[in-house]
Amino acid sequence: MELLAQNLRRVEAPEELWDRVMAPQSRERPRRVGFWAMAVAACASVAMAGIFYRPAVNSTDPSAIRAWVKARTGIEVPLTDQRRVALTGARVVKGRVEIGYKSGTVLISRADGRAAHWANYAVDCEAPACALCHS
Amino acid sequence: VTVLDDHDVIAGCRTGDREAFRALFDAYQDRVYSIALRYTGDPAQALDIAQDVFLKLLNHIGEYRGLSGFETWLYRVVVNRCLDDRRRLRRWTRMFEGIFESASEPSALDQLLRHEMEARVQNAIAMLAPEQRIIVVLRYTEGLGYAEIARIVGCSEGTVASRLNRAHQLLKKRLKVR
Repeated sequence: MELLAQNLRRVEAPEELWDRVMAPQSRERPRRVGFWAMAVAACASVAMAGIFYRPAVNSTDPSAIRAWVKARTGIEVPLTDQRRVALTGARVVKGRVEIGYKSGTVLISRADGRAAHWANYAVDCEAPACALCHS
Repeated sequence: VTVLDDHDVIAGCRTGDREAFRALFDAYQDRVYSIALRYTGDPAQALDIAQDVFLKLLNHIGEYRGLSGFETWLYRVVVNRCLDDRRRLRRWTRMFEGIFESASEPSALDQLLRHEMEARVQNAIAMLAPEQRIIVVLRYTEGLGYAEIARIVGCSEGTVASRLNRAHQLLKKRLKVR
């Protein structure tokens, strides 16, 4: 099919690819070198966040929190209204969004400076928080 | 495009020679990125995949034992990474499909139409089963023959032919091509 060959043709790789390969391999190394240390730290941070979390906006309404976050950061967080996990609010700290729910927080931060696409954000959460967006 | 089957370059990479790795990277970067882009339809995800593939090359080139051609081995690494990525990121990409803001190019009508058609094709490709999609990408992005695809994917030529044939039927329907 000519159409496929035309529209699936090879393209040039972005110039940043080399830099990303040569940069400190932050996406691979932590998993190998300090996996258990990171796991312990992550558990501790989630627990601490659950204890000390003070939201800037107090709300259990996903659409209200979604709109609040969007207005302040431009980040569209697809919180759903299925109530498996109870929301408590949200806040923005140093450009990082923290969505609070009953037993912890979901942390969202820019992974780089590019356009507002979800792939450019990093998300840190533990399993129950997935239910905030997924049914 | 340089075809590298130079044992010296690969041997250099094995000993940590940065120039050898750069030569390898230059020869294959477009191929690796293109396969990832055509498979995922997402430049950011494709960049992640390409980065991982070259990191694997950098750190694990010792796993290439020279039993198959280097190109075949590399394609296999890319294909496995694409299929693996699908499993890990499927939920996220589905959720945020609507949010992606592509940087659209200038306004010439032909460019617009070309982009539109490219997007239509990419969308149609995205709806194929992963096993069909990767074969379509290897066939049309890389121009590989059935035998080579079969070696990379690890199936028979007959399976490649039937998956490609099935993919053609589906794409014709979706793109309304006569």
